[in-house]
Amino acid sequence: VDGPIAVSVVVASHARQLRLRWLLNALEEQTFAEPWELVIVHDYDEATAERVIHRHPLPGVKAIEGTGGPGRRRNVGWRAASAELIAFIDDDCRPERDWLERLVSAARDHPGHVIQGRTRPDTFEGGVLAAPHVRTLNIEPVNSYRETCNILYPRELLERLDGFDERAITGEDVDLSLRALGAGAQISAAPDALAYHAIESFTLPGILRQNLKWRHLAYLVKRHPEMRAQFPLGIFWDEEHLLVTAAAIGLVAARRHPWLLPLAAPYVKRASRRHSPAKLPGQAVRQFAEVLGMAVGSVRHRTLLL
Amino acid sequence: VKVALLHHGRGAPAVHELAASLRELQNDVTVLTPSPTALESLLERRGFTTPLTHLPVTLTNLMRGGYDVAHAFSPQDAYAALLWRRRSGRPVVLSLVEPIQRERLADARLRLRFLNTALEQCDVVIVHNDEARAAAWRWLALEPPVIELSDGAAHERLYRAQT
Repeated sequence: VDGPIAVSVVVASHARQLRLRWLLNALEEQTFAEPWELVIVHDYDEATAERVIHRHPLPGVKAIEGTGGPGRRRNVGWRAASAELIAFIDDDCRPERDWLERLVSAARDHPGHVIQGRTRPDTFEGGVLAAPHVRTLNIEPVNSYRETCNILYPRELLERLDGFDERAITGEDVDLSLRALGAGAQISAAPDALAYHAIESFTLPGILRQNLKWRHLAYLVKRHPEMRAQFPLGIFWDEEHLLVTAAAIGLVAARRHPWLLPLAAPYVKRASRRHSPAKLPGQAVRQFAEVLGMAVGSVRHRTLLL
Repeated sequence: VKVALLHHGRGAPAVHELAASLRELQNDVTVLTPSPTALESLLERRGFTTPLTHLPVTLTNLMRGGYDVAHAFSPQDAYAALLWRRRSGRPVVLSLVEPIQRERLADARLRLRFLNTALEQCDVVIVHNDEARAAAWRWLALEPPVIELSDGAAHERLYRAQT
């Protein structure tokens, strides 16, 4: 199809060559009828890149070698892109066939807006949800975090904001969207631009290692103190962190002050509703470890977030 | 060549045909088909790829067998064979016999991990028909050689090339 490139899809890929291949297949099946391009920033060796990316039949693919965090790679990607609309999707996502069409359509209906699509756990991978510790995304747009797994930015806005904060180890997508809002941009939903997110299972040590990165959210909150308005007591990332902290205090203090034991009750009540009894201890360990990790991050970034 | 053919019971007739064909060529072939245990259904309910519980027996049989090559017919059997290779230093061949469909590549716990490990570490990955080769290219970015499952002579050549 001739004509100017309507949209550039940017993907940062690391250590997920098979999933990247599956993403390329899903992008090859897109119904979007106008010219578009795909920019992949990856750190695969030459042979892998040749096999997985270069020889894939999808036309209009720019593959760029790039290292560093996701923010840095995405910056490399959108800066190398040609279009005025930049769609971001993650390498562990599977867009529906009309994903790009719907995303661009919403962008044209709302010129200048950031457009967030809907993300659901991958229906092909539902069996994995039986695991006690899983990682996936379930996003109803527009949500509080505006993750980069399924979102479109006008190029002009990215340029004005100078892209992602490359110092952020995690939460760089939230940071970008907050700066976009601060600059007066609007964020609109495209609920019919659907992408499915991989479902990955972890062992308890594995999920603890995986979640260690959340300690760097303190950096994000330090940059955007307005986020605290949505946090319980202004310092807890979410209600579960508050409740598990209260439960831990209750359990530890109960040795000397038994009347403090009921502090554990709200957590137990809430967790019992969400998880089977067999999964409860693991979930409690996971959540408490997250709080401890965030405490470490608070010290490092000199702002309290638990 | 002393060969262990590893499979978990699904598609057994074809594997036994290959074994017969290899034996006709004077190879020493053992088909290792340990029975899954009662724990299998529990693992399945917990979302794991199955069968799995036979893997320790498969590994033990491989360790004791003194084989020149192990030929696995599923990623999880290849995983056991790769553990055997660490000790024995002998090659592992993987046949992709299960349908390669996006819907099934990561639909259970450990499935993708077994697949990734097997694809990255097995000495050779093969398929048995052109349809499987096309699917392997599309979904795994692999172009494995096609060797008909009943072709004992071609398998023997493959094993000899690896040992």
